[in-house]
Amino acid sequence: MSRNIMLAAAIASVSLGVPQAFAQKADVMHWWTSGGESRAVKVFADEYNKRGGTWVDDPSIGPQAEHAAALNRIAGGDPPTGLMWNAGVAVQQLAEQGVLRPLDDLAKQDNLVANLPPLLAKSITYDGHVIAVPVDIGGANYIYYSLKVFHDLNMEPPKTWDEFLAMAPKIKAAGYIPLAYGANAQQEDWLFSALVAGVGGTDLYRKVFVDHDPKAAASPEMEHVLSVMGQLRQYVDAGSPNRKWNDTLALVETNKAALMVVGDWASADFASAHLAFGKDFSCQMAPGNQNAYVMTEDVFVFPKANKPEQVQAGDKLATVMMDPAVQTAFNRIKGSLPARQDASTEGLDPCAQIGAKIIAGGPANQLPNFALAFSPDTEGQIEDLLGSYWATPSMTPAEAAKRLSTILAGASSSHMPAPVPVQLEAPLVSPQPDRASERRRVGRAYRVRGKAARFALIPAVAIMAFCFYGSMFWTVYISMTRSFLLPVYKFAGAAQYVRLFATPRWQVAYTNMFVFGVLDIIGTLGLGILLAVLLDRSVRFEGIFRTILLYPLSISFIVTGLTWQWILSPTIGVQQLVRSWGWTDFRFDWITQPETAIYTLVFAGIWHQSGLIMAIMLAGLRGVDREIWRAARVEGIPVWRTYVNIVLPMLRPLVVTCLVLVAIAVVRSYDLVVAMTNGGPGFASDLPGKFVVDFEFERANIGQASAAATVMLASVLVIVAPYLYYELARKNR
Amino acid sequence: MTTVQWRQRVGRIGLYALIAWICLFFSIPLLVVIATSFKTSAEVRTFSIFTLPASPSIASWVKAWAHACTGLKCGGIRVGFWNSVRILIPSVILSVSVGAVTGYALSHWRVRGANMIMLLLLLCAFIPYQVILYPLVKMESTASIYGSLAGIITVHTVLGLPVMALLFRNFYVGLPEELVKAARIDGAGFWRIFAFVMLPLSVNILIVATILQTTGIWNDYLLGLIFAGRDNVPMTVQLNMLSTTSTGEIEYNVNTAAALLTALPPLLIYFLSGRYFVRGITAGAVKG
Repeated sequence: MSRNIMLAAAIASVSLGVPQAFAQKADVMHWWTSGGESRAVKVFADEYNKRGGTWVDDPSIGPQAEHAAALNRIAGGDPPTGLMWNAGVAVQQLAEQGVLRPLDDLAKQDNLVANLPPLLAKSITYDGHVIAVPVDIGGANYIYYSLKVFHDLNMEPPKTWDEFLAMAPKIKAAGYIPLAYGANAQQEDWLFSALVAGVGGTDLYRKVFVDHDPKAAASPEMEHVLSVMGQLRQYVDAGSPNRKWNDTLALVETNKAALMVVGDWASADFASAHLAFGKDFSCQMAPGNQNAYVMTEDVFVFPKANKPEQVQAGDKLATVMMDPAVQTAFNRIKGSLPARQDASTEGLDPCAQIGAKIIAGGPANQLPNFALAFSPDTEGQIEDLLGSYWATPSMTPAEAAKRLSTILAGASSSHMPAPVPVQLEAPLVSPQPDRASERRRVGRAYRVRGKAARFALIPAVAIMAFCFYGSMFWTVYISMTRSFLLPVYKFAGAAQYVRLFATPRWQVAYTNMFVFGVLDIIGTLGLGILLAVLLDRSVRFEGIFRTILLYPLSISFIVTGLTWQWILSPTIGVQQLVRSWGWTDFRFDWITQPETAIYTLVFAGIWHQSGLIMAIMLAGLRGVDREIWRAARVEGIPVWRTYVNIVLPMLRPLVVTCLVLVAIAVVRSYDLVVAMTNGGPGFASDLPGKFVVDFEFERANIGQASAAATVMLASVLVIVAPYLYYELARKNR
Repeated sequence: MTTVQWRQRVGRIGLYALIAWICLFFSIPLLVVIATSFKTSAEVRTFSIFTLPASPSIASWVKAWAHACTGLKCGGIRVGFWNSVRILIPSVILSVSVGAVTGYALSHWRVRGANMIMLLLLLCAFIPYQVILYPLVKMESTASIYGSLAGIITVHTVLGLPVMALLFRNFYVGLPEELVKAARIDGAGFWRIFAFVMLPLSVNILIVATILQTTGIWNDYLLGLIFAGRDNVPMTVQLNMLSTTSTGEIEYNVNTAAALLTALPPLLIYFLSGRYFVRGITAGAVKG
């Protein structure tokens, strides 16, 4: 609000001197931050400024950060002028929330829709209105390859996937990585698209990606596609899990790997590494993709604005971005193709030009990428499936195909539209001033002495009321609505929970909580109590031992997780150590195996927490009446039996406290799993704490995140409520 | 020697052997990380992390501190270090102050509903952050402090309240009530008693609370990730980004050095203040 007033004031003061000449300020949010990208954005900025506006650049690191910031600003009534959004179904979902401005007049004026490939035209239309401006087209199904590697091996880059499978063993034998691949959601999408189009053909692609046909997804053709994907596992390097795409591309850039399946945005990366097309690297369509162009786009949307000057700024911005000449200039730097087919392709990137020819071949060649084909939610489910298929060699292609089919069958119903337009600036907790002030008045009359004390408690009570309990109830309520990108407040029952517990990733995360929890509790309590008993036997150097046992507590879970990740890593850790002793076939690669990754968290958990249990229990043991020990000695009871049968049962309340502490820590676990396995391989070691954060801030699915968070809350209450009841009862006794 | 003495001696040896083995399990991770951080890049590539550095070098420490890259920025982990310091100092001062005043108000002043407030605070200490994260983000963005230094400091103060308040409340309840009564008869009010009677007696608990909050806030990852904004990314967040980004070769020596730099402040606090640290951790953990 105050921002707008200041803006208005600034405009007013300027317009006093030069009437009509105030600059239209466009606050533009995007996530183009790499060298080439930000130079490309400057084309828009310069053009906008040239046309008399003022461009305010507002870049974020990655789409998630931008989405979170933008949605907050929209919900807070301070929308940006224009913002980049994930293309495809995501835009339609945003439009469904009723926050986007229709651009019909501008689009008609510039003849936008008729000049777009049909796929893109469809993607920017919602309910008959144009709601977004596409600025570029990219192709996701290229291979970029190292000319040096292919030259050394005297080979030609593969034209079919069978050719690749035949040459890969030779490439590997020559000491190169046949396929540069980083196993994360993004690269899964690219590889899978290129395989479906290249192995299964464009018909299969269309059936799965356009018609969402469950039968095609479970067909023998799809099984074949998945089995080829499975065979590729042996041709990637050990550093593959979770590696970002530009780090993966670096393997090709440094001639360590032969090729990578990646979109034409790779060109810019080669350029910034000072590598030349045709000399150091080259590109072509992925094997078997010679007549397929898996299309991606970047789009900008324009949120509804209240002030006329904001609307004008938005109009001007949209017009700049729609301009064919500007699009060409932009894409020359960006390395992709103009979205408008009437824009010149002169001077564009050579790799992008290959794609331009395929696009020109007609709509039959134009295929939607994941974002254009699926809702973000379905996309996430498919990515989760592909991730766990890739990480789990024991999963058969048939089983993976069946699961893909199930996801597609649910895809049409899975996307939960918001039936009511979003309430902007809805208060989180509705204040009740009347009753509160009355209570305050009554209090003042009776207890004058406590006035200052009550005053001092205001911050604490306010924090509790709003930040803890208000927020808690808000989350629980939202979990019973159809909220998706933005919160909606219409009650919808248990739908989110039904969906949550049908989601494979949640099932894994929730089960993992119990697996990790039981083992961690047994291990931590067992070792902690054992240590307390050992140190209780009046050992010498107790101080040194205590110091060693307690230091892990001062170390963050992030450092703990990274450290254990290194120790358990098969390439540098324990496995490598034992192999260097001569046991060359020794295997200890739990952390990279989906079935066992969750157990590795237990090592780190025990290491970090058992010192705490030791400290608590040792304090308890030191408090035990010496008379009991004397009596036991007189009776001739062995020391260990005295502990097990007499002393420890006396300390039962303390043991229960320790149990509750460790159990709560398990439910809350987040940092540890992020640093150690990042939930992988696939999502095999996911935990509820990570599930909630991922769904809230990356998948932008508030409804599912809230339902999962509520399950976490319920789990904590189940642990804490009996404990508090018991403790309070004990104290009152 | 008699058999009983023999058996006792064997038992003692077994006891020490067992403790020594467990201590080895506890110290190995730190030793491994220290050893790796002093290796050269060539050495890290070829050997397991369990070997000692052949020619110890501090090159990776220098790189981790000043030149290591996270994404496009190559300013080293020191960027995160200074961000963490900027977050830490105001957060600790604020959360300890609010906690001390709240704990004091809940102890010797018979405020109506004090027991209820206590119970509600206790429950708050158990709520997983994930449950309240999104509403907090919304509140902060409404107040235009989301993604700023003020935003992350506010969150640390807010979320530190339950444990801080309970810690101080339990301490003040243990002080004799006569102290407050006597001061009241002398005409001192709420704040004067706090400043001149309670605070001078609170040195120990203030140290405990400060240490507890300092290690807690320094080691925080989730809140820093969500609330700090890209200009104030704390050291833990930067460390994780640095270690999970691998451009071809993973530089374990640099990553371990960065991890040690991140762990160093709380480790120093622990080794220098041992007794207070343990008291804080156990008191903060047991709560009430």
